[in-house]
Amino acid sequence: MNDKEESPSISVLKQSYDELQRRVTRFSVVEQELIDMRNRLDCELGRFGRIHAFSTQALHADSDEAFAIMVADALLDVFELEVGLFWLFDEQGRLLSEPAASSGFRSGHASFARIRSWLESRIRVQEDKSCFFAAQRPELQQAALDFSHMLVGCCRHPCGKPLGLLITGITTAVADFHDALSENEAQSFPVFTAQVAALYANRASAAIIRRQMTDLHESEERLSLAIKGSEIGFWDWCLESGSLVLSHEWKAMLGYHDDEIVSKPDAWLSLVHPEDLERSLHLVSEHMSGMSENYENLHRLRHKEGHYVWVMARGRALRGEKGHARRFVGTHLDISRQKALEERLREAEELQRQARQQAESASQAKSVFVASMSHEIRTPMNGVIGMLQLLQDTSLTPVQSSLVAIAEQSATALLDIIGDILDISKVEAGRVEIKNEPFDLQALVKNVIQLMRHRAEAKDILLECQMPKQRECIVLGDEGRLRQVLINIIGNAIKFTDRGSVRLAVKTGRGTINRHSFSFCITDTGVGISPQALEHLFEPFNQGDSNLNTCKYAGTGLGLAISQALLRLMGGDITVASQKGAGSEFRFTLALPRASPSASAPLLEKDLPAAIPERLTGRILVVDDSQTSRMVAKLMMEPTGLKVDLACDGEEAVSMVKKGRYDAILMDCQMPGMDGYEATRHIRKLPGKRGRLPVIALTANVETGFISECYASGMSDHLCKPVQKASLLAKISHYLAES
Amino acid sequence: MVNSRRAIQECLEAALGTDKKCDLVMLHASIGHDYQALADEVRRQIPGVRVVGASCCGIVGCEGVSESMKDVALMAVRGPELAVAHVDGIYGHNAFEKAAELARQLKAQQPGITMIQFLASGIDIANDWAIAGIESVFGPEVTIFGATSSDNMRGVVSYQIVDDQVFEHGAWAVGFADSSLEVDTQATHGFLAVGEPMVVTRAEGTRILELNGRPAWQEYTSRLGLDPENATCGDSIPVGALAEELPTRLAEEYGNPHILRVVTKRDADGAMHYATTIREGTRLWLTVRDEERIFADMDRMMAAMVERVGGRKPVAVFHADCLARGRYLLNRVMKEELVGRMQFPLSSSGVVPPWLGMYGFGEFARLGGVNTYHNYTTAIYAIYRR
Repeated sequence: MNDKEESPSISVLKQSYDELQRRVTRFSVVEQELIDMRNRLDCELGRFGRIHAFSTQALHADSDEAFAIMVADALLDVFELEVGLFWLFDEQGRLLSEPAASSGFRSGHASFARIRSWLESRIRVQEDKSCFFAAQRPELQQAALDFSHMLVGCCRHPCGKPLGLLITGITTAVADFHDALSENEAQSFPVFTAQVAALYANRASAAIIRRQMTDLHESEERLSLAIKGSEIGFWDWCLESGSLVLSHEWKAMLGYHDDEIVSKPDAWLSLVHPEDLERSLHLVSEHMSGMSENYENLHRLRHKEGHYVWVMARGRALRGEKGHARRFVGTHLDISRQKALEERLREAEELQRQARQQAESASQAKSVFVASMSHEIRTPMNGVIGMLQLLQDTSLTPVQSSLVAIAEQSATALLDIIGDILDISKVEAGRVEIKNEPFDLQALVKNVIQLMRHRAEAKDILLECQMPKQRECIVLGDEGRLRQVLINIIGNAIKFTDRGSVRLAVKTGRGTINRHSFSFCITDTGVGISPQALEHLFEPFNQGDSNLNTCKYAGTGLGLAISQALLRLMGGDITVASQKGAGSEFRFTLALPRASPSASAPLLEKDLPAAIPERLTGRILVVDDSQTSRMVAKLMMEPTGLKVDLACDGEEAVSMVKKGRYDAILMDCQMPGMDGYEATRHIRKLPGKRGRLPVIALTANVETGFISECYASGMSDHLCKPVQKASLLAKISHYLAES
Repeated sequence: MVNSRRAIQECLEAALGTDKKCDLVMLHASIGHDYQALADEVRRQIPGVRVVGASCCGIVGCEGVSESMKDVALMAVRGPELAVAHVDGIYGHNAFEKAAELARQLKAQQPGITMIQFLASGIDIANDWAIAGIESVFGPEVTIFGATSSDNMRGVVSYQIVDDQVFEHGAWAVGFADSSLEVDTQATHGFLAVGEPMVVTRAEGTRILELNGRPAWQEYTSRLGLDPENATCGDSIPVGALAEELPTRLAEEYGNPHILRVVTKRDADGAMHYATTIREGTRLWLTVRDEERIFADMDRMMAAMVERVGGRKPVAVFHADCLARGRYLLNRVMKEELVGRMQFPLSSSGVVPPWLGMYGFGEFARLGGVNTYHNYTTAIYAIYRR
């Protein structure tokens, strides 16, 4: 073979050899690519393994802070990059100012603020539900972040709410040592993100469960302590299984140890008092059937020692969907002690009731006695005073006239004493009723001053009155009782003043929208009261200074006590300031309701005809079982020209009215046989003018109740015994004029 | 472990328990760690302790292998017969002088040093001159074992730790003067040279400027089927082991006719950084990996080592592995199998002796009774009590 022949052959062989060599090296490169691919797969598998290891470890994180650090560390462990950040969102879905934990982050790296700003501009956690991306160097450089590669994943709660971001990446300083993971190469990253999200969400749930468990435990402890402290027995009856749980306290209440009572419904049944059994079973049955909302049963259970214990059972059934009871739970409370106390209380109350009854009986008897005494005294006093007035009308020598006047004053004083005793008796018995009727306060005050003026003038002292300047002042209250108070205090002032003056000042105070306020001040220039006497001034039967001349200043010592009691009943109170020898000052304030504009005050006595005609014409029937009283009335009226017939009881009066023609009747109230009330009712039933005759009560009973009864029976008016001649004639004159 | 300080705490606790007394801590950590923090934490934990360490692409310990970005392994050493020295600014052009200086420091501390663990930056150093520098002080009898530091195969930077300092172009050495100790070293790779060799037509020191008359990087990557413009050392290292022919005598001991070299860096002008000095006219073969041979050679090496020490068990083992033999070559299962095959023969009743290994750029082990620099190998340094 020559060169020309060999050359092509060698050339072909060389070419083939070169090609083989290229294929061998190419094979090495391809093989390396396969190795690289295998390595990447190995790496990814390794990441899943490390994710698993992290999950196991993170379950034991004992705090959220520790968990966050584990997450940040795991980012580096798993993905082998330089920096790991775990960055939480707030409730509004905004990133917090700094990550919860960071790993590998050094001071030379971009600030958290810059990273946060970029993240917030880059991600749309609300819109992009997956929110996983890999950012590469150009984008990161544009954001002025010193990173060459970054993976970002959003951890979400199962409900979709974003919890936090996982960020891992490499800074430019070490970029040469790291391969940038593309999204395809980092499939484990979303898995890790989801795993962290689940763990974090579970932590929150676990924290809630732990907190609830703690709360429950504490609650159970509290309940247990409370039950032990309160000695409340607990029972729990499962109707489906028939089992009954009885607490230690339940058994101890009945003297049993835990092992001495079998926890079965029979245990309770066998202990219920026979008398309570039927009712108890009924109550249970009623509640089970849904007829009662709660089960409550006060019953007795037999104690181990044989006696019975009062137990208050309370419970409630837990019901299924159809309303049938499936569990019945409740408590037992030993109320034996309460029962014993209750019994003792009942006994004490009975004793108290009896005592009160006795006291009331005694008080009633006293009141009846006092009223009766008043009546019984007033009736003969009516005769005495009446006769004295009649005697005064006869021709008497000056001495005789003086003696008659003294006798009349004494009789009147005696009446005042009787009136005071009657009042204090009623006050003490709590039987004083305060009226609430319209009256003109200004008129009342003027009237009182007018009444008291003659007493002041008799002692040659000045009686002054200062009132607000207003036309009238209609208020609601008890005019009679206020008058009584004013007369009492002003009367006292006049009594204890020998020189100088007595002054009544009435001022209006700051009222309210529906009340007038009045302050009353009664000052005198009298003897004054010592400090010692002031302390006891308002006590009954106290007459101020004991060293005063009691003969000179006679009285029962009841007036101020009555006044104080009445003022208190009217909502006011009385105070006194005094110095021995320098006079006294009594003050009280009353807030009286304003009367409605349409209300009008009743006529006062002053409104009655002031002048009584000298001659009167008419026929008057006087009905009274007391002959003296009949005589007094007859003798008072006949001199005026009136014709007077007499009847000694109601029945006779009715009969006379039926037969005769009368213009008015003076009717005693309490009479044997038919009394005045009954007689009036009969008269009112008579036809025609007879039935409309004015009937004026003439009664020795001056209490409100009796007077009310007069009007209730149909009487037209009343006069109290002992009757004043002037008053009698004024009334008669008034009704005659009307008729 | 991502937290450097916590990683050190856990490692020290595993190594020393509660008794933190020791004289020297040797540590290897992958590139994701903060090396200063690692060094500081060791010294904080054990005040006054000497610290030496290196960055690497992965670590090997008694527990096995790990090649993440955040690995740490350390060995705590107790004993008075130790010397530690370091130099900074070691490159290809001054490797001899710096290494000699290093050796002098060691000798000044411990004249009776019999073996030296050496570590230098693995990217731009003339490792053969470094060996020569050390031998110039201690003589060729001293056994030099160790590795060169690395990053994670990017060829960007590697770190060396000495006490509280971290260097990028430093070297450290630990001299063992305990005469009761000896070290047995051996390396193996299992690669096959294929095709026609490339001839170094122009070189300067450790830099290959031209291959086959063309710019070295261009020729090299073209032969590898890589794009010269875009390919990096990270791309070329796994597939581009270069093989130099060994003398027949050494080839027999080595189990392979070629010793391998790695290209750790390339310059913009197309020059390639070689791990040792290289002469023009040297023939360099491309290689392919042969998994069966890798395992077989590993078994052969381990058997030879066991045989050499007559069944004794090592008190500690240092281990340097090429980062290209790690996750870039073997999958996790095979890698663990390979580590198992090297640890098992040296174990005692299944207990692996104290073991500190790292994946770096290069390995130092004796070959033919001479201290030699290797690439793409597994090198075992078993310390025995005599």
